[in-house]
Amino acid sequence: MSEFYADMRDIRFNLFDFLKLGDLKKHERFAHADPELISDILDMAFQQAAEVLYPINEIGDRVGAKLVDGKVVMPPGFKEAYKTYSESGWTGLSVDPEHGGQGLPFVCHLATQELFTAANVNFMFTPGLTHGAMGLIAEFGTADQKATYVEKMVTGEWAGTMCLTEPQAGTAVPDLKSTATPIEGREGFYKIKGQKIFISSGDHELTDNIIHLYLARVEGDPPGAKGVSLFVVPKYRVEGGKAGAFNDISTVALEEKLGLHGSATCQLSFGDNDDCEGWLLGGQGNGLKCMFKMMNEARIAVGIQGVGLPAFAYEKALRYSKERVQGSRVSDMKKKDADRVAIIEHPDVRRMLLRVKAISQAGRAMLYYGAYCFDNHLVAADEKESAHWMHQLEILTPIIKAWCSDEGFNACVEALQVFGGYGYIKEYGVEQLLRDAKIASIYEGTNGIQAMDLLGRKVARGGGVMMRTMLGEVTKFIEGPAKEGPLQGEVVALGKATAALGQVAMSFGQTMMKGDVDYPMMHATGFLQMFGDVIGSWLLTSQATIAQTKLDERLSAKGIDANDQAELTTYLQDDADARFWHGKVQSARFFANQILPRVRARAAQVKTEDRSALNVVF
Amino acid sequence: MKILVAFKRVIDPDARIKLTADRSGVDTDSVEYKANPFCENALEEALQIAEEHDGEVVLVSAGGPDIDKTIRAGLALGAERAIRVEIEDTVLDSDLAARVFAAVYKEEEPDIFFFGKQAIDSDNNQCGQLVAEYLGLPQACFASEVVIDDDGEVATVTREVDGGLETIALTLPAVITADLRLNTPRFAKLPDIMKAGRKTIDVMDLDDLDIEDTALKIELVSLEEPSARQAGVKVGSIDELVDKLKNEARAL
Ligand SMILES: Cc1cc2nc3c(=O)[nH]c(=O)nc-3n(C[C@H](O)[C@H](O)[C@H](O)COP(=O)(O)OP(=O)(O)OC[C@H]3O[C@@H](n4cnc5c(N)ncnc54)[C@H](O)[C@@H]3O)c2cc1C
Ligand SMILES: Cc1cc2nc3c(=O)[nH]c(=O)nc-3n(C[C@H](O)[C@H](O)[C@H](O)COP(=O)(O)OP(=O)(O)OC[C@H]3O[C@@H](n4cnc5c(N)ncnc54)[C@H](O)[C@@H]3O)c2cc1C
Repeated sequence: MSEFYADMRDIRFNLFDFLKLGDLKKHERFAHADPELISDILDMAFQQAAEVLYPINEIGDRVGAKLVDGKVVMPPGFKEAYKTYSESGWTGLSVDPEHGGQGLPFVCHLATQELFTAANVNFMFTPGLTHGAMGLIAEFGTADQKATYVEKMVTGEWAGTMCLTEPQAGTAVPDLKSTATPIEGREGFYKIKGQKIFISSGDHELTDNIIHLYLARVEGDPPGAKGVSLFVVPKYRVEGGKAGAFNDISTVALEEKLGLHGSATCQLSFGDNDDCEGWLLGGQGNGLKCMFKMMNEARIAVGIQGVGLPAFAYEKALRYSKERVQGSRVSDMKKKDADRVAIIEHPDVRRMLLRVKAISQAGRAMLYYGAYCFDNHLVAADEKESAHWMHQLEILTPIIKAWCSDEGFNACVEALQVFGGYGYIKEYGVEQLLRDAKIASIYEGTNGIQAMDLLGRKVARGGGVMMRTMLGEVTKFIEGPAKEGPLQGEVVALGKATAALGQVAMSFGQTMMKGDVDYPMMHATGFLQMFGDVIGSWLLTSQATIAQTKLDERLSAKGIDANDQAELTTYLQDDADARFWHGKVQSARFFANQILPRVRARAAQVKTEDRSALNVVF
Repeated sequence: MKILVAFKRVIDPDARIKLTADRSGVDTDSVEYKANPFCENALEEALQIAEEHDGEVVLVSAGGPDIDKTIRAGLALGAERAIRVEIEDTVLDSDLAARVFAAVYKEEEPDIFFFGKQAIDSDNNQCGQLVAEYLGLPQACFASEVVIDDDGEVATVTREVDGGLETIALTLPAVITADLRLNTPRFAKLPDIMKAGRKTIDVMDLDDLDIEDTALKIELVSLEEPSARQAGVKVGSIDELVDKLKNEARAL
């Protein structure tokens, strides 16, 4: 069995050197968030990812979740691992102490989740959804509802799900048919009836109870979004704080799918015998509003999959490429009996490796930055400062969700390519990462919907304040000291790309003013990618300036001549810190020079005014 | 019942290490550290015994402030407090470590003093034995099972010895060193990691402890990298293999 690897240096660099997490300590809310403590927590998270979750990853994929006599049976080892995971308290890391959590910054939660997700994304569905469902109850629940559910979910004793999707209501959630009928004499309680599909962790034997967060329409309420309400529907009714009578919820089927075999994607039937009860949460007709409030967090959480999986695929590909001997150096082409070399010596393989690394690191930087905006908004001194962070978070949310999941999946494809035929077969586990990564572009709002959210709502809202705030941060960097530093070429490239992005946004605005929304929306996905590329390059280049300074200090302390490539290469092989900093600079350069030019190519595509996709008759 | 556990920090065994230019030691600029795995077994056993016999577990380690991170990891697992004897890592050999620990024993007077059977950095396998000798205590090394009687007076220890297993009974207080098969160390819980930062690590100076002999018995002359592995040869048949083993390698 292969081992689990993660780039702990990059995770720490993001948190401590780039985001300077220690500064959050000055706020009372985060006074306990010592960098030392957080670093200890990361070590523990890595250990559990490697020793508890990863060893059952492959078996989760091969055996899968199964439906046996109407009950879901999870893959071997999942139950024991769930116990360890829950008892360790991971779900509560950033949860308010009032609800039994540790109240640490959200970005720390994400960093630990990235490790767990990379090690075993299938396993993480149950704790991940429990976290989301718990969050809804903690935010919108009455005192009674919170007392009944929240702590049990923070400790993982009970699990949670999100029940939105129905056969005719996928993207169009308000088209749902589930109904809720008031139970006479019991204020807030309703009889629930309906079919839900694609419900992740919809049933399992990991916990004594499963708390479904369920969208339905109260009888007589209007069609459309305004008539949607949210309910808490437990698998077993809660009696005296314990799981009691069965609540008439049955598992009709499990989906067979491309990946995620170890995650139970359930078709659930509620109230077949008219005996399913739900408890209204957040007020009648407020179902979608409540869901929307949790959206930023949930969508950012999906970004984790678009970072953790390719990051691990990179670690695997890197190690493989150092071992696999094939062919000789192109520069030795004319030599007879040229040495056979490890494939990492081949320029094309190096290109693939650095691409996967740069994409993963850009995704991580984006993901953590978004979460950091969220944390800062929580402790902002005034409304203005709070808005400064929220505007960035709002516009970054669809980008983090869609850019990370699309680029992350593509990066998994490239990592697999490094293995040649050995990537396509199961032996090295990289094909599983690829299959498991695909879902992130589909659920929690498809990436097409994210792109429309970005272009249709976020860019235009408030006279464009979100985009201005976000690009204002980028511009600050472009015009700051970095433009004279060692990465000045990359800074210039970023400046040009940012300008192109701004121009495209303007031209879309004008087109839409003229009443043509189809043309911009046809480019929405491309626009989101442009935006993501700019953000990625901004973050990687700013990180690289920090890394370069650290590298220079180390090299001069050791008396190494940075201009002597041979001496530098030899030195870097033995100094893991220096190698990491040097690598950060190369990632940033690669991104700015090999990926960022897409932005201007996309801008050119928009300029063509080509309407073929709209005009074609299929 | 009070249990003292020696808890040592070692360089991550998976890390690639290199020597300093003068070969006097390992270049520690960018190495990562972990707790010695055998010490983790020792701590786990101590925690289990303490849970059963309502005891207190105290960690003891020797080194500079940079080992506090490893000590905190031990505190997060459930030890109540820790003692760090301030001493430069590089000026410690097994004998001095043992004298330091013996002195700490006298301050704390525990019922059991647990060690790992050896540390995976220098692999000396001496500390526990020396401490027992200096204190005149009974010792049981390489323990794979430890049972403490209800009165907390006798430890029955199964030891992994060359010929198999040996079971002995010791009157407490005693020194026990842990082997890997003794138990499976637990994982720290998040709330305990949070609490670990608030637990005390008492720092003692060498001078605070009454140690007569602080001389090093081992002089480090120099360190060498292991020589690079020679390329192997492929053999055509089992006969050829046996022949090579016999006549070239002289292993048979
Ligand atoms: C493995 C898995 C786990 C899931 N887990 C859950 C879960 O736990 N809970 C839950 O409620 N759901 C879950 N889902 C459902 C998931 O959220 C939906 O599949 C998703 O919302 C898309 O809906 P759909 O599949 O009906 O696709 P459709 O809505 O039919 O979309 C098909 C295509 O059309 C596009 N499209 C649709 N409408 C528009 C529009 N208005 N404008 C432009 N393009 C549009 C989409 O972008 C997409 O490309 C899960 C799905 C899977 C596969
Ligand atoms: C499903 C399947 C069916 C197959 N069917 C057949 C079959 O019917 N008959 C048959 O003979 N074979 C078959 N193969 C084998 C297939 O052709 C090889 O897997 C393929 O040639 C790649 O070789 P490899 O897997 O050893 O990868 P490697 O050669 O090890 O390549 C690994 C990576 O290194 C790169 N690389 C290697 N050498 C160089 C170089 N000199 N310069 C730059 N980059 C380099 C590659 O591009 C690749 O990205 C099959 C493989 C699979 C997975």
